[in-house]
Amino acid sequence: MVTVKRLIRTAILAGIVVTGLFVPRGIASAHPLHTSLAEIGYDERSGMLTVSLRVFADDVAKASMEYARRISPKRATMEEPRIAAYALSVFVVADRSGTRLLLSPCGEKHIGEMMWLCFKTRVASHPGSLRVSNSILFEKYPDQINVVQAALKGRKATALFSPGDGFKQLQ
Amino acid sequence: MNSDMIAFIELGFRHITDAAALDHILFLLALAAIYRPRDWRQALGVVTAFTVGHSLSLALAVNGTVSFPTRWVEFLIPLTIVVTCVENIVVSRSGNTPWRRRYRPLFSGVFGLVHGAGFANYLRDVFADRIALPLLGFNIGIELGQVVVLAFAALGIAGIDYAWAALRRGGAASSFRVRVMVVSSVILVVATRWAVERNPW
Repeated sequence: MVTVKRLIRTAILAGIVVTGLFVPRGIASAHPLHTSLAEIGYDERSGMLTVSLRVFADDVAKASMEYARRISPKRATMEEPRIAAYALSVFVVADRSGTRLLLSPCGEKHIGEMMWLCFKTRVASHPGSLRVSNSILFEKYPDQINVVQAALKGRKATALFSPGDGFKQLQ
Repeated sequence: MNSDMIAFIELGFRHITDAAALDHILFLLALAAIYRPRDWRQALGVVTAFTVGHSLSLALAVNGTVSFPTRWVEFLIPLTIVVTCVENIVVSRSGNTPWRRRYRPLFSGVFGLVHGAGFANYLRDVFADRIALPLLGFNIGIELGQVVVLAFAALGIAGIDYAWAALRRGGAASSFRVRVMVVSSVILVVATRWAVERNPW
């Protein structure tokens, strides 16, 4: 009876030690909030649709480097066009009919740990609703959640994007 | 409720129930490990204290009143888990319950401050100039996520009790003690490893 008791205790102890040792290293790392925020606005006077995208600077720098290496190794050293090109490859805005809007970069700035990227495009008339897809950093973090907010015709709409999501309608 | 609020509640809920949030989940599990169904009032008090501490530090950090160094916060989080597990094990082994463990809500509240600081920095960076709604929604989502995690933890713990009682036929007192020891020891080993890996020196 005593031997069985000892055996059970040893098995439990071994289980505890093995569990501790085999917890994957990635899980032991800190638990940052993997998220980004994109705001879409429309200025009726100028007819410009503007996107302001906030993303963690170190993450987007690494992701854009990997993207540039895949697309064009020569461009991998130029940070600014590299990051904008990467962002435009994963952040897509389309009008109600599904036609993709051609966004062009309009600047970027660093605020703390964040990088704020600006994109804009001219649209013929007020887009009452938009179709948006935002998969920025999905290839790096499976728990990445991207928040997209749009202010259109006095209404605000918000959508969350996580890996596996496609286009979502904002109106 | 507008789509902004729902989105931020969802963000908080998904954040806390994600496997990557295992440190927060294990802390809740360590807190819950010593309670039986009849102790639900004490359990509720401890979890509420954790929520208050966690919400307070999140609010203070996010509106810029205080600033927490990320590396230290990330090191302190597993330490709070280690201390909780050690307390579980020591009290369970000795059989005494000092002050009927009325100090636990205080500990839990203080540890909640540390856990709230854990993601406050990230939240502040992302939603810098429009923090009120994201903060409120995110916090509600976190609390809802905690309720779900604790519900699953209660089921898991009941399962351990049942399995041990069936295996050993040692009675409720014996299975309760084994459950506290096993759950706390597993979490203690994992959290100690995290603390070593995240040490800020």
